[in-house]
Amino acid sequence: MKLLDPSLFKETEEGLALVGQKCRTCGKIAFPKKRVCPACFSDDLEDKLLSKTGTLHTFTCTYLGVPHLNPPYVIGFVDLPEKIRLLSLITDCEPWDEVLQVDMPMEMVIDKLMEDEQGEDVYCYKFRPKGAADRK
Amino acid sequence: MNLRKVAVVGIGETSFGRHMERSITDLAAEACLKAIKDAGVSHRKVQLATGAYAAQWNSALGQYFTLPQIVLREIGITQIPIFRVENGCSSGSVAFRDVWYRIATGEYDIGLAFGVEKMNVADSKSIRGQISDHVPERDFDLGLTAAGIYAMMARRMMAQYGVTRENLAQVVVKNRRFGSMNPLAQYQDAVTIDEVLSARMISDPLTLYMCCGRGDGAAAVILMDAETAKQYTTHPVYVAANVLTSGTYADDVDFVTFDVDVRAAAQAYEMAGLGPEDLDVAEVHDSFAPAEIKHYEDLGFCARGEGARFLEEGLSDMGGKIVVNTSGGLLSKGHVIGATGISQVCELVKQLRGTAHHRQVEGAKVGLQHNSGGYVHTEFCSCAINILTR
Repeated sequence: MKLLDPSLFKETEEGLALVGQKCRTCGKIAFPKKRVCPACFSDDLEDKLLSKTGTLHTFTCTYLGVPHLNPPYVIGFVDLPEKIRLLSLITDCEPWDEVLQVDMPMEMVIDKLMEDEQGEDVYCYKFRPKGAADRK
Repeated sequence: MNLRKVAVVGIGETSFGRHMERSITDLAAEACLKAIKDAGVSHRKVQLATGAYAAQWNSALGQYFTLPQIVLREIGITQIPIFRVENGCSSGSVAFRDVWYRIATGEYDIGLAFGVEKMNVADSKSIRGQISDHVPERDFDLGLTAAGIYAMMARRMMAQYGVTRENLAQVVVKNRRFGSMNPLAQYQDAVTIDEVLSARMISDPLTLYMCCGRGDGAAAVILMDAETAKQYTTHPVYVAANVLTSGTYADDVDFVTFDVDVRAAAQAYEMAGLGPEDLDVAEVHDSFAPAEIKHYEDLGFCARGEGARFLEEGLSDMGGKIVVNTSGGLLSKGHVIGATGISQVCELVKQLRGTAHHRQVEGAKVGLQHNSGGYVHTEFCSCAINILTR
């Protein structure tokens, strides 16, 4: 499976998870991984798997969006318990303007993002309302 | 550091709009020449210059090298130090800051700052399709657009503070009415709330008219230290505060504010020894309608969550407490990336000189200019603020 950016992910027994870093000095969690802790500048860092659930901080349906995603599409900010705010495509939410609510619980899925120039599918994380029927 | 008082002595602008037949060099030269003539200074007296543009959209390299030198050669300004700066949508303000700082510190007495952009040479798709492999979160690959940022902010403001779609439309109606009084603005017609709300949806809840257009144009200023300025003008406009800062990029702040703007405003008020209660006019970065409501709050014009009420009560309109975006704002002028910040300064100078004609705020003495630039993940990359006084 071709991922948009493999450095964002880690393979686990429960499938792909997003991986950031936790600072062993001050405890700050950051995503994606950086060279140092952006809070205390320590380089004593460890991998930190991020939660696959969070809350929808806000969202929009974009009608004039990036060409490779074939608008309209829905994006939002999803806040994870680790205090990481992810920008994410929102899926399995039709009709979006009735289903989606600010602060509602969300869950992560791995889904096709787009096709690359060679026509190969590129995958990335997306979020959907928690418990939404898996239509795949 | 002991900084000298600096004055804006000359302003010059092209009209903002579609200038397909003209080169970026010609547009910039027009604005610079107008500013020099407005200042009444010989071009040989200009000791340094800084020019701003964000990108040259139709150039294979995305840039033209040494554009400011090429522009200024057209009007006989040679043999001086000339710089180019880029700070996204706040590029023009950074050119202004550069010249202001070099005069304030005493390095030079007379300088020129200009901003220019030609946006219409690029097709929309190539702008929206910018790759984002320099952004670790890959935000643009994941579908983020400029309208999407402020659409998400508007959605959060609606949920958290009860801001309505009508409020967003009211911003547009106010600014387009001012724009209809500004002969340099791209859009010369006023619009109604119904027209704004029924326009094509761009990124819900933002309709077409709630998103600034793009445009071609240029703006320039001549700055001098206050002593030198006395030789050239009897009505200088002084720079009481100039602030530039960058984002905090917090992940855990409600998406209804940008900390970069809050901090920049606090620094600017402290530097000027003035507060929002002293402001008569303001030019704020209304790239999208919800931005203006957010700016009222972040810049301290009103309390957090009160921005929509500030608007509804007419406090940012003619006759209100702080009349905002009398130029028509980006929503009327169009966003001419490199030129926008300096164009905002030009409008405030007109207001403080009392030469803003039909949109003149009676007796305006203090104005604030606010310009946002760049964006990464959760916040703008840069905020520039000037407080100007007469």
